[in-house]
Amino acid sequence: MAYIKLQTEPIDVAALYQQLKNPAYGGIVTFSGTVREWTEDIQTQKIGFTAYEEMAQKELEKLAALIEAQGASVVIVHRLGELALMEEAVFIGVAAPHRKEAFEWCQYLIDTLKSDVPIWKKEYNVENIRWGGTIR
Amino acid sequence: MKVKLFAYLAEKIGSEVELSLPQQMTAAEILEKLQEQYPEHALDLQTCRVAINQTFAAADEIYEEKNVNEIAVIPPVSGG
Repeated sequence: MAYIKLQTEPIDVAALYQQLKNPAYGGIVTFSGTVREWTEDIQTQKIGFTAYEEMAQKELEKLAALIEAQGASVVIVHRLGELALMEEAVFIGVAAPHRKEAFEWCQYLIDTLKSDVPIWKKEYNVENIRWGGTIR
Repeated sequence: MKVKLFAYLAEKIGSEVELSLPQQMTAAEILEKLQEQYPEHALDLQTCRVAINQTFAAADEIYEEKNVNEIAVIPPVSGG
């Protein structure tokens, strides 16, 4: 059963990694997305994340179930609220029998999260405040 | 029927709006109605998807009002 959570408290990456360890698996791939300061010449100070929480939880559970049905273990945690530079916004971990599928599935999960899961970022930049997915 | 809005749409319009909808509707029609009701935000609405009962709805799939418990407008997502 995948561990899926949206939370306002900081993401404990080490603890989530430990959850993935299991004698059935020989490869664990994790991805952490952190708050970056510079996007070309835009300087970001902090990011606020909001979500359509019930739907985001369901969408993530569906994605994880798809991967777990193929014989892996999945952890996905996304942070909500305001985050400072370098803080983890998202953690994705996939434990699988072998590395190849662990890499593939981790990549699939973060790519699909970024395109289809109803979570939004609001960047607080030096120059402006900008919602993710917009050019304004 | 109540429609949930998120992100910049919630900031500009409100997190929930009332919309009168026919007994049968598609996601495309829901967006059109919203654009009529909020012409000043029509451009923002154009890029949105619609979720019905917390699942993305295909633009042309027909939903009966009695089966629709929750409608949400989903601006382009940007998590991760």
